[in-house]
Amino acid sequence: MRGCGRVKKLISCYLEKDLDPGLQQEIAEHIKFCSECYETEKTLKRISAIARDLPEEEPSFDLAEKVMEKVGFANESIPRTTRVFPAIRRWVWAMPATAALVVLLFLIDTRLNRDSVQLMDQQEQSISQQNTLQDQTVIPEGPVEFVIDNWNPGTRSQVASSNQSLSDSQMLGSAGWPADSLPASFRMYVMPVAQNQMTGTTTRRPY
Amino acid sequence: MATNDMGLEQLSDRQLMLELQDGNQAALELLLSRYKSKLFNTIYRLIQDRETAQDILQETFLRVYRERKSYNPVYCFSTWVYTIALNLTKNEMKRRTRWRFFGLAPSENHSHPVGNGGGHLGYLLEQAINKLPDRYKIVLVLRDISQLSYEEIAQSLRLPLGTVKSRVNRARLMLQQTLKPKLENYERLWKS
Repeated sequence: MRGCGRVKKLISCYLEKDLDPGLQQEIAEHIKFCSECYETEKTLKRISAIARDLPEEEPSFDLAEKVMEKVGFANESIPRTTRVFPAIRRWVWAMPATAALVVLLFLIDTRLNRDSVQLMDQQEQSISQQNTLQDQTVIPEGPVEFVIDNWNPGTRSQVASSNQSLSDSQMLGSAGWPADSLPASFRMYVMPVAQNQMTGTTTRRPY
Repeated sequence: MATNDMGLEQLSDRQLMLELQDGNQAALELLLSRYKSKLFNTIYRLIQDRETAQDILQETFLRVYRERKSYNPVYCFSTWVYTIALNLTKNEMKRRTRWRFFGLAPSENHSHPVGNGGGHLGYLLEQAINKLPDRYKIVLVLRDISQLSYEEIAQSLRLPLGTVKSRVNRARLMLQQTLKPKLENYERLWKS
């Protein structure tokens, strides 16, 4: 039925007779002919009656005594609003301030530690880089050593011919072989001798 | 303004507060005896826990005493004391809602549903009221159980009068929807 929404908005005021007489009459007419609004009105009246019949709960009999005891205590002790609170309030900033200071110190300490660790890391890294460079740096030492291996005769003659442009000591000094006693076939590697300055080990590396 | 105890009983609430402001503690005792039942009933219906309601009531009167100097006699004492009690009650309700959110709802000491004078219907009504959202529950309890006027409710809760009226109406319609089938069942069983 039309107007139910409006009636529902006003039904509390209608039940309490808190409306203009005209509006009160209008809603009463509506309720007469609208079963839904009639049911709503009936249930609300029932609920109101149940609410009125709810027993009144009573506090314990010694409530007044307890309150007066506390009032007496409050009276004898320092009034909270005038002395205790300002006293606490005066120092209330101290706790968060201390906490903030501790956090700040912790952060600074952590930062310093991290910086020093980074510095140490950088130093270690640079040392290791130097070591690596030293490892990689091959410093030729003394005359070039030739390691002669068996190879094909063609190469042998080629080497023999090229040997002529070099002195014996240059060519075979460390091998200890005379130029005319070269084996029938050989392979020749030219390998400088290098010594690691750190470890003192000698290595040969092919060009 | 010293008045003997027999004379105090004749005084209005406002005059008793003036006595209290002058340091007469007997005035507080008298105010307590006038309001303790009304306030306890309201707080209990909102909290549903006797012990907590008792604590809130005690705290209410302690605050009345502590803040006695800030009471302005222009305003009604009942509104002032209800405002204090309702603020404390609302804080407790919020605290309970938070605990309920974390699954740690405090125990509620309901009075026994049968034989407490309200009977089964009273129990059904209490249950339905407890299921209402807090904003509707408070105005409904103040209006329908504590029987405060709309103006008193509006002043105590510091809400506009229209808001209070519409909340009461809404709360009643919500209750009606919840309780209608239960009431019909109950009446059918009662008749059979």
